[in-house]
Amino acid sequence: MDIIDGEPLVILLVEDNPDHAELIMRSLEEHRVANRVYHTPDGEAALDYLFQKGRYCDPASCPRPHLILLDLRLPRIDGLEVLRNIKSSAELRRIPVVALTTSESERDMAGAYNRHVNSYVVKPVDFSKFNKLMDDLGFYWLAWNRKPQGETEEKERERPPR
Amino acid sequence: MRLILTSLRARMALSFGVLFAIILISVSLIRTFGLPLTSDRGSFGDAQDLLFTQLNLLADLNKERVLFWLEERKKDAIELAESAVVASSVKRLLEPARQAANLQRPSHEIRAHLYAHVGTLIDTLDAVMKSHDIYERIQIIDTVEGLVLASTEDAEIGTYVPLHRVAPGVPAESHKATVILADSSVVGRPSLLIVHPIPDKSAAPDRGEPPVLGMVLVYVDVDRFPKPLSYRAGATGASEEVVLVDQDLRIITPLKFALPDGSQAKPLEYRNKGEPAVLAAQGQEGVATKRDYRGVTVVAAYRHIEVNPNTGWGLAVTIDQDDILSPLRRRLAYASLVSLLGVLAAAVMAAVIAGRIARPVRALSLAAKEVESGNLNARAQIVSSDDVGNLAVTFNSMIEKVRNWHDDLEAQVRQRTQRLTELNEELTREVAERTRAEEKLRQQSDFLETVLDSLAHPFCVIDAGDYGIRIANSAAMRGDMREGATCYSVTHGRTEPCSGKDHPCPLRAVRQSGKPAVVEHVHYDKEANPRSVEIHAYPIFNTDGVVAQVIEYFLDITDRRHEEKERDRLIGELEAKNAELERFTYTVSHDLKSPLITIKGFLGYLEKDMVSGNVERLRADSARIHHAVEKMARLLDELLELSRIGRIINPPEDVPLGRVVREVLDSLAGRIMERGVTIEIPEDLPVLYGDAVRLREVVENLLDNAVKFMGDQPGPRVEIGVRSGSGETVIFVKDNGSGVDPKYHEKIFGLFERLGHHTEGTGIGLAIVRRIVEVHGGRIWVESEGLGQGSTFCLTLPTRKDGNRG
Repeated sequence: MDIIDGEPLVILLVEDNPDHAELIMRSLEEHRVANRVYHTPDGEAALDYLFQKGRYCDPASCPRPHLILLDLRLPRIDGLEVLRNIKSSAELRRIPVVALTTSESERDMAGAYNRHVNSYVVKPVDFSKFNKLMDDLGFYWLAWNRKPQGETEEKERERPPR
Repeated sequence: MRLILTSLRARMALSFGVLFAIILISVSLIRTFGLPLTSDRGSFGDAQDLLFTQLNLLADLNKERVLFWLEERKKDAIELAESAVVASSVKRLLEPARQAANLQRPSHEIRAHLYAHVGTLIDTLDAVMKSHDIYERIQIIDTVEGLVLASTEDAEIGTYVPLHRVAPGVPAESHKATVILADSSVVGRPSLLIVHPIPDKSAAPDRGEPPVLGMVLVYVDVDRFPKPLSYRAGATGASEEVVLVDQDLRIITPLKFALPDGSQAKPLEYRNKGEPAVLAAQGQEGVATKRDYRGVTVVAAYRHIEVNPNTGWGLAVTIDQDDILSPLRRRLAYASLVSLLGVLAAAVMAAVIAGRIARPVRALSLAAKEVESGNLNARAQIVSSDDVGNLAVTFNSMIEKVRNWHDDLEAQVRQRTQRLTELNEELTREVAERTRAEEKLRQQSDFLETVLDSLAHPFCVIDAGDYGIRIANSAAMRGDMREGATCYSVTHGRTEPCSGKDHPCPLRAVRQSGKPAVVEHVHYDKEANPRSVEIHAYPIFNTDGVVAQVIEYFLDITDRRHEEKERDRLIGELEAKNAELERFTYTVSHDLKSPLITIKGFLGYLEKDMVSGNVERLRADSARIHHAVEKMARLLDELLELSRIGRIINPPEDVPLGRVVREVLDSLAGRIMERGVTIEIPEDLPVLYGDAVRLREVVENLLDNAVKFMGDQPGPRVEIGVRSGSGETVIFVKDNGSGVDPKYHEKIFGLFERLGHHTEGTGIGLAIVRRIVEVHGGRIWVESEGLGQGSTFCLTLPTRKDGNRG
């Protein structure tokens, strides 16, 4: 994995289940997908991290992520609410958000896409598939996927919310 | 008369006759009385003028004659008085007579003396007497004593004549002749005498008036003197009369007519007081119409005759007015007769002419009469080619037209009569039909009434104007909706129409929109229970298209409403259950899958750990696997537990809350001691009634949570208690722990909802609590100011006194 523009690649993992978080982080680590993976255990912490509030107020220790892996079922503030907050923020909305959840519920999927999720994947129960998914996800979003650069771009025209 | 006047001939005759009469009478009047406003005075005026002239002439003539006659007499007297013989004789007689008188000599001596010397004088006097046979006697008297010196009557010589009585007003020294009328008292009988003094010319011939020797008195024969004065020619008429009066109105000449009493007036005695005589005696002259002594109206010419310087007589020539008018009357009578004849002639001529003119008109009239009486075939005979002839022709053609019209009319009348008969029959049919229709209508009305009465729902018809109930079926009447009452008084107990604020007024709605309306009201039945009533209102329009009446019928939908409410409640409940179930399924699949992923994932690493010989991680990973498996087992247990609530029910029993709380606290004693939590429990906690096992679960869960979520509270405290308010008993479990953000107050009771990733538990506990409370018919909620503010879980549960509910 390369460092884009000399910047360390950062992934924010929002996952309430510590076992799952461990699995995901271990998998990402093995495939060297990112330089760093930050984990927040609930929605509130995730938003605090992203908006650099509370204990995440230091920009140096809490860099803006290049990819967000978001579990939907979260305590305090659930994943869809976190997603809505990200996508309605001009600074954050361009960060790709991948919903990574156990839920195959139609309602959750529609909810996520309605809130402009960039991708929706269900955690595979099978271990090898789980590993493969993590590898592909990281590679696709951080290597293949291109995104506009920094702050030089024009402001996108705001689309009215649906 | 009217009949005659309607005849043309008679009218013409009358008209012409009147016309002629008017003309003739006018001519006659003009001839007689002259033209008004002109100098023509007519024959009457002429005659009057002539008469006046004649009368004036006669009057003047008579006056002249009287004056002339009187002058003659005066001359005689003057001749005697101025005769020198007489004067000398008197002088001679006078001296001895005066002496004798003065000597108071006896009269016979004086008379003898006079006799002796009077001889020549008497001769003179006799000569005068004989030359004029109108004189009665002549005397010469002494002015001093009135001694008669000489007289034609010898016996009078030597007697005395009272001169002042004979001729009053005649001065003894008068040198003029004076005419005197003396009545009988003076000289025995009425007399006219002329007195003249005898001047003594020899005594003073040059200086003024000579002295008077005596007086000559000439007496006119009374029987003779009127004759020359009474000229009665009768020139002007039979009634012509000449009257002569002295200054005292005594008549001098006899009157022509007898006095009103039939006697003849005596001259010098009777006083004529007729107006002409009076005027003349007073010195006036003229011609005038006056009343004479008889009271008869006369035309008189009157003259004044001055006989002496101071006395005058009156003379009047009169003629009766009747005498004057009689010829005029004759002429008028004649003129009238001629007029009458003229009128008759004119009338006859007019009648003849009118007859000739009227003949064709009469023929026309007869024809018209015949037409009038119905004979339209009658025609006027055309007898001439003049206007009347043309009229007849026109008349005939008119009658022809009339006959045509008449025929048309009769045809029309026949036609109309026919039509009328038809209409009449039609009308009879219609009446019969209408009667049948009315009968049918009545039947329908009865039918309708029966139908309406058969309705179990109140039904009525209300007037849209005054809200009065016009028709009400028996169901409505049972609800006091009798006919004549107003809808607002019956259904809402108001005294005036509803404002529509509390209830939408169906009548008003229908009246405004003209469309059926359905509204819902709350009415109260006789037990004052609220009833939901659905009112269906339909408009009934009048011919103008205005809503005149409104049909309303009332459906009691209380039960339906109740059912609907119940159904809505059930639906709501079902939906909630569905959602819960969906959530349940979802969370179950999620929460059951999570440990599986964990298990499988770490099993995978377990293999790697074994290969790499990383024992440390191997142990940790296998612990994770154990943990996940246990969690899964617990999840399944609790899910099973949850599914049992409400399905498997222990029989309800009294559950003393105090005892349950103490037992639970005993089981939690270790944790309580560990955290140093203070527990407060009041003495008198209520006795609940329900499933003892489940209720114990509730208490367990709540107390466990309270102790568990103390956060980093230094003096943790939990209070269990009961508060009463708004009619229900609320049990509460209050802690001063970490609290619950108000936005999660509802969420925490959901399945698998956990507020913290670090908290233990499956997230089913509060869901179970709520389920149990709800199954017991209670409610549960949380009160908390927010994080760190502590929280109070409140719940209502059936107590013993509530009976056996749940």
